[in-house]
Amino acid sequence: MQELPAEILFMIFSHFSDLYSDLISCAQVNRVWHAVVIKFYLWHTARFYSFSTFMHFRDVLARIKWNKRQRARNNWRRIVMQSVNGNSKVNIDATRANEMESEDDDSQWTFDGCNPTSFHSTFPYGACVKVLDLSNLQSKNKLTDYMLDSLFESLPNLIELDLYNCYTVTDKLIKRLPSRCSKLRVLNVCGCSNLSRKCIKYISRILYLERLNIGLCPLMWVEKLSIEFDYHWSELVMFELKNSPFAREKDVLNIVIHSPKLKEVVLTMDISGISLAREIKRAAPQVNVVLRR
Amino acid sequence: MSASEAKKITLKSCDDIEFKVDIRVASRSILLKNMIEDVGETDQSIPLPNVNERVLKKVLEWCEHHKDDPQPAIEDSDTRRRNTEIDDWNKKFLEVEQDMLFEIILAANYLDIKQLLDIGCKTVANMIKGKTPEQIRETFNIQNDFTPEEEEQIRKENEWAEDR
Repeated sequence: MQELPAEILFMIFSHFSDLYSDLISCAQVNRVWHAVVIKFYLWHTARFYSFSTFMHFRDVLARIKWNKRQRARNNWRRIVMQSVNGNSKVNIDATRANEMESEDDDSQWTFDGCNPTSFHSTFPYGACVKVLDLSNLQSKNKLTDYMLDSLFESLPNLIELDLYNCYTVTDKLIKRLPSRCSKLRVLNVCGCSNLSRKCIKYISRILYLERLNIGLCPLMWVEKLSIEFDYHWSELVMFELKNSPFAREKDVLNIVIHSPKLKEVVLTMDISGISLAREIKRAAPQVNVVLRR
Repeated sequence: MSASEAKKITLKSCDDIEFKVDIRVASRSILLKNMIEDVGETDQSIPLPNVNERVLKKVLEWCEHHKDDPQPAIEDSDTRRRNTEIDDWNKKFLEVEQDMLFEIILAANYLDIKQLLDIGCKTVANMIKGKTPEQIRETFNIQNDFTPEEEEQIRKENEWAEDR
């Protein structure tokens, strides 16, 4: 079996689509199997329903981050101790340093929702996550900006992010999103009703964004400050804006005009949607406007 | 028998055994199909450096049996795999030693015979299903390169995936 290449293993595991317990067993077989299962199946798409499962997932990643920091710190300490005291004293000083460690700033690392577990892995699971879907998550009221921001820090390769109806999310989180998840291509913040007008500026900094859904964000259209929507959307292909009766023509047209690759705009089938659609058609005839109920 | 049906090409396995096969049979392999289309008719034998006689014979047996099947439409590969059913003939066909099964899979991959590859992979997947990591290793004679702690740790790190 060891001679089966990873691409064949990949195809074999595809038959387990939803059988997570089988996939976990496969991940434990050996290192090659582990790498294939983790990268393409177990961690590729993180879709959550129960809040405790989501917190468990987050806890594993936080723990790994902590372990890495700890390991680096220990290595560093060993080098310093060796050069200061010579080899004979290393053990004693290392224990003393460990005692000091407990008074260190580590106490701020609390794990909300789950008890800390006692494993020592530093495997980069977070880098394997390509899709994070919280659209069906229960108890969304418990989500906080901090919770998500520290999670995003561990997910540098995220391509698709669905925050549908995560209404507790604020501008602060979106502001940091472009630097946390710079490879993002699909973003859904529909129903994140706390997001203000500034968010458009932040979102436009996500360089490779192809699909964007900003429906049901009424505050986004409240005109204040002097924020114009004239940002450049070089990769945007699809833009969805349902249930946004307050969306101002000028703003929407600004996005449409500054998106050279735009192919489709989805709007709600209502009075404001229909009149918006007419304006978009006039300004950018090549764009396909879809009206949905 | 029409002229086109009688057309044959010669395949040569890596251990220098030649097989004369119907073009229709050989065309089950996308690799060979493209090759025949590019090169046109040829009397020269086509060397297959990755496939030995034993395996090639078996693969050609499969192609012969499936020569009249419609070519699978290009569809989402994920749904295709999930819907792969192994009928009785294929089940019997793949009742071979494990080494042979793997070699058939590798040959199907090299020759680009999607259906054979799918049923081969599915057969292996069925052998894995419901087994513990240790049982999987025993079944396929795989060496464990994890320590018991690491193995336990992997379970812990991935538990969350089970109750999503």
